[in-house]
Amino acid sequence: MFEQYAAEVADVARIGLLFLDGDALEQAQREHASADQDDIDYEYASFNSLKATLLRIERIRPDLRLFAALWQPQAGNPTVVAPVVCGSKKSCGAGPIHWPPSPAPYWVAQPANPDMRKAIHTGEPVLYLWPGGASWYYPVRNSDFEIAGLLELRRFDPDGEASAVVWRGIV
Amino acid sequence: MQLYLIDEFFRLEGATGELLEQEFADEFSRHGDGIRLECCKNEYVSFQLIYDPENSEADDGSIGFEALQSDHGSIPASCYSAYIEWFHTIGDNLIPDALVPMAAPGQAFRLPLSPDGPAKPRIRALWVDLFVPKGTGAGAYTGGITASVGGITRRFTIQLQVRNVTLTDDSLIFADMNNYADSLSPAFPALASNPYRYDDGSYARVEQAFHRISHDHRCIFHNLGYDHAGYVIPGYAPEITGEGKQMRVCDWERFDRHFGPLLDGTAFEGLNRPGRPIPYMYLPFNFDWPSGYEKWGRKGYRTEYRRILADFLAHFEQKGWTNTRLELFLNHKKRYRMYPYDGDETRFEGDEALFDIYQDLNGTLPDASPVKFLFRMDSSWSYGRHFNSRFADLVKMWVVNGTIFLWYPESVALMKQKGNILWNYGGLNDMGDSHLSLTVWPFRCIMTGITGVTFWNATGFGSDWLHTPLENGRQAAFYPGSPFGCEGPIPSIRVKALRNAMQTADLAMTLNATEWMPLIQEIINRHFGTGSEGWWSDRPAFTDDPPHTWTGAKLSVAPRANVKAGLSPAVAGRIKREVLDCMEGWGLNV
Repeated sequence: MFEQYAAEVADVARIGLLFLDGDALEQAQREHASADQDDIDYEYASFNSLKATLLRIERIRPDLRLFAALWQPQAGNPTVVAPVVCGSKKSCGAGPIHWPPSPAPYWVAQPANPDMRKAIHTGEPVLYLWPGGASWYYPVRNSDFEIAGLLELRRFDPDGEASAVVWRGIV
Repeated sequence: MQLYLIDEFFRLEGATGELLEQEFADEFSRHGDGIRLECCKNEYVSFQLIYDPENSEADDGSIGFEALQSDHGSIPASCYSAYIEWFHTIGDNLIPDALVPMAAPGQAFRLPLSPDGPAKPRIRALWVDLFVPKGTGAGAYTGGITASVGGITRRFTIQLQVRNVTLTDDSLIFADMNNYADSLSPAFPALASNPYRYDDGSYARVEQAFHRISHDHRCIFHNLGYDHAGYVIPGYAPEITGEGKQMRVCDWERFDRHFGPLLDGTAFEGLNRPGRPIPYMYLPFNFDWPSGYEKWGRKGYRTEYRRILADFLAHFEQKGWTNTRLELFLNHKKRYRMYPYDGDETRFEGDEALFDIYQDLNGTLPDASPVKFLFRMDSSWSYGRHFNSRFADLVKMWVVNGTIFLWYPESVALMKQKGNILWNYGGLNDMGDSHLSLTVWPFRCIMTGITGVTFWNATGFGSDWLHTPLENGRQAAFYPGSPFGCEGPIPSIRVKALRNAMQTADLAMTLNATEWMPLIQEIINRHFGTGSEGWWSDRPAFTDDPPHTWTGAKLSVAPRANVKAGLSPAVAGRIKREVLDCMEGWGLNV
């Protein structure tokens, strides 16, 4: 079901990645004042520019109802990722934001799923199908061409048509 | 088998019939013949009927009410209302909280309500409210109630002393039941399965029922219509069209249908308490409405905010909705990764930049508008920095964490000087705690100068509330009536206890800024066993550091005033009696 969107989502990502600034992604989150997950602070200009870009990415093809978010691997430990900036829930319709099956709530650091890890490791886009939706992961690079994080484009399918079979490949 | 009455302040453990508030056993009585009550006019009084069959079998029963008679007139039997107490499992105890309304006095009932329910209490209990209308003559009234259950029939004498004092219709102190839309639909299957609920009026009817029950319990139902992602629930904002200088409201129909009855007071017709427009209401303005956040910081963002705010002011004035305080409140928290600022309970100094929105808009507001629009700030961490800052001139409504506020007694006079509304953030109590954990709040308002308390979540029932509500009820003042065939809320014992204390506090507050108020405060202090300074806390040294450095560990050991420690829940009743004595004695026929 979601495979039919692959080429269209790839187009959205291609355009969006032109404007996503990997340096800003690295700078957006200030050091935590404590170990508390809630204790987060942002470098406002970087966050706001990334947020504005995510909102525009979501609008490139509003009919696809994509939700965009930026993830960052933990420094020195790419098996743990944290969301840094999220787009707009309005883009994917009413209801709660559904995250791929994870024991942790969406806004905290959590283990990277295998497809996230593959995208970070290979530098290539990966599609992750999960019950109720699909996530396309695209590496975001900084000005040194290092992978600073991942752009996730998520489509939530309320009709539950997503296949449980994970489909891997270049998307 | 036993059948008896107890007063409103205490509860019995469902499996054993023992007093839950054991440490105050010397104040507790079981009344086999009747009960004495005391009240002013325009007020509810309450008591409980207990049936202890000493087994868990179900029994049929009925209860009948007689009019109360005096030399001056009568109070009709229709002024009674009765509820079946539902027992929840809280730790090792069965504790009553949810109240299932009986359709009419005299209705037959079967106890326990659900023989196969999660709890099988031995004790069966009814909560009884009696409303004394405003025009009731002062004096002594006598009547009775007759309960028949499990083969026992007993008539109890009700003796009521109506004092020559009248409670105001309007609240002077606000018990604010805060909520986040849409927390209601999941609890009502008919709503949850209806994708058109925001359009066909079904959601609005259920929400209106929550407003009604809150109003009748001397509370406000305060429902925030957008979430942390800036998503506005349908119906909580009008339809807008256009962009930039062409943005405008294009359709008010669904919004007006939703909020009109609340804003003109017609939603509250038919209650014991006269209908009034809701006193406070959240506006849908947030980081992402009406302007998209991609325009943040740019002139288009300000343009769109100003245009839609102007539309709101014009529309509300045209409709005559000028009694409700309309709050522009940015409730976002950065932890959800949607926005980089905390609009709610700001901790980082840099986050204060977002309040430039308020400054921008302030220049837009027509001074001559009768619409009561204001900016709200929930300040907490940064309150010590904010109460004596430029924000205190701009922001007219403040809600401050109840612990942190007590470190800044000097803030109250400053806020009042500026004409600012000042409330505290509190939370509903664990139902395992005595009622005083909740009923202390109205008295704290009188003693500290705040005029309201926000209970941060009143509809967090949890998915298994019939068994054990979420956090033992700390997020629920009401419960969904859907399991009992009621498409609306049902009250809790705790909200009834709070209502009764709010009545006393509102009565006392009619003397605010008069020569009698210090005498009222002395009464309250004496019953709480403290002086006026006991309601405040010493300020901890770490408050000299930036708020974002205040860790949970520091806050957990910070001083907290705890005037209620070791006190009986019946303190609220003793204060009420003495306040009534004084007001009647002083000839204050309010």
